[in-house]
Amino acid sequence: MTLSRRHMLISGLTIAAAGAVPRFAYAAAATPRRLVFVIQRGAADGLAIVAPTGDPAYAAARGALAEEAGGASLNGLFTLHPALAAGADLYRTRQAHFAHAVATAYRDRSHFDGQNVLEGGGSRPYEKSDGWVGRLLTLLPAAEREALAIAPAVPLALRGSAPVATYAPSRLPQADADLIARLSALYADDALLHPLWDSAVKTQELAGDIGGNNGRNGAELGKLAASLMLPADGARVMMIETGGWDTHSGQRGRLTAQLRGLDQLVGALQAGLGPAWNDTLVVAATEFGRTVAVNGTGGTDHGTGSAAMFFGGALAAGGPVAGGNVSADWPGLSAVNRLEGRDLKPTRSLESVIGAAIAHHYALDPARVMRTLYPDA
Amino acid sequence: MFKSPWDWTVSVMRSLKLPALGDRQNVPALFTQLGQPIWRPGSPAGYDDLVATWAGSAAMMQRVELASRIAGRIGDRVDARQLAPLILADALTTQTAQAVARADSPGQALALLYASPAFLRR
Repeated sequence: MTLSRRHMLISGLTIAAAGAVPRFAYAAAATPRRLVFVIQRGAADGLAIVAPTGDPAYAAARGALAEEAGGASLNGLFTLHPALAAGADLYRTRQAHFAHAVATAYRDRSHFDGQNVLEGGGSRPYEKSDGWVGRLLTLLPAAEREALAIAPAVPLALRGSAPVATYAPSRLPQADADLIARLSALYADDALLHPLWDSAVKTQELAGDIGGNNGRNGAELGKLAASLMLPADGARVMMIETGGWDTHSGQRGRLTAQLRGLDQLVGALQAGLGPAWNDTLVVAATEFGRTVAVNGTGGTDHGTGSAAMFFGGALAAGGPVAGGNVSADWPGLSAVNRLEGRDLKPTRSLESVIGAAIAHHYALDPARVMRTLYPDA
Repeated sequence: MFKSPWDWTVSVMRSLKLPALGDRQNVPALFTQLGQPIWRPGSPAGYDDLVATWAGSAAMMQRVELASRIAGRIGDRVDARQLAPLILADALTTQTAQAVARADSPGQALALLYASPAFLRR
């Protein structure tokens, strides 16, 4: 990590001798603001996370998956997934906001390309070699620019001209449940590998993804993130990777586990940050949504519109992502209202929602934020 | 023939234009973890070349975890869909090509490629 404001002040003599401008001491806010970007890799199903149970077409369109919507009622139209218990509490206390029917500029169905657009902030895949969070760092005062990713390498979203640290806890196994399931399928017809892998999976205690271990992995990750962000010289901008959202089959159980992990992650962040939670904005977003209809294996396929989640103590004070509120220009779920007859139609750009939330959080000029984060939007 | 940890790791490194391992990777510790400690074969005859020696279930999981760690480091700078036919050529099966193409992230695609049945063998 680079030098923090505190270090600057303590070693003031050295800094002055080196000719540095001592404006850090005045420019920084009393309590530095914090940002956490949680990326949901694999296309999370916004229609199950924030279910539009009040849409007349919902029950018929979602079939078996409609039955899971038994969580907190958010307003007349939307119901939160039951696994998001901490999320429901935050919503009640106006510290959670959900933005629905949003999507990036990307309109195809490749995870690779979709994540590239979500992180890079361009209008086409592979257009940008740096990311929107990385570009945001250039707008922040020095005391709020310390960035860290809980990942083995700097993810695209955080890349840019400002230095970014990474932290990968080696005790967390890297092979996640989704990769293991895909390998099981790949080895199914292999006489040597199939039995070997079966026994490897049975003996391995899986603890690599946020959904594993009944959500406690998510809690551990949140606790770790908070401990890295809390110290005076800690990180102020954080990116957390989550995978396992690609629920082509058996969505009900898998998504419940995933969301339980995410819920505990957010809960642990709030608990771990203490008073600093009031100056923290958490943004959780995915590359695209999933189909409205349920497929033959109890899952959903790659879609378009999804939901983004915002958490933080400051959301209670209002702003573009005000707490205790779901924002949506709701397109409707009936077949005629869908995109290409199959996907939730995006009615707002995810870029504009994130850009407005970030500008408000850091009290920056919204137009300047949009130009920097999403120059093509 | 099932690759030894040495074969497999070297073939991963050779397949990439980027360094597969970080600068501070403790390579001897890595091979100990993969089940082939350097210069310590446990028998004066050295390491053998039998499938049964290397194809163990714990060793498989270690290899998958290493593949996943490498993929996490550089996965989004390598397109596994293009790399697969280059490194596996005729050995690339439809199943592996599909698994790579349908991965939920570029990193997962690279991990699947290095853990694919054809890449585990030579």
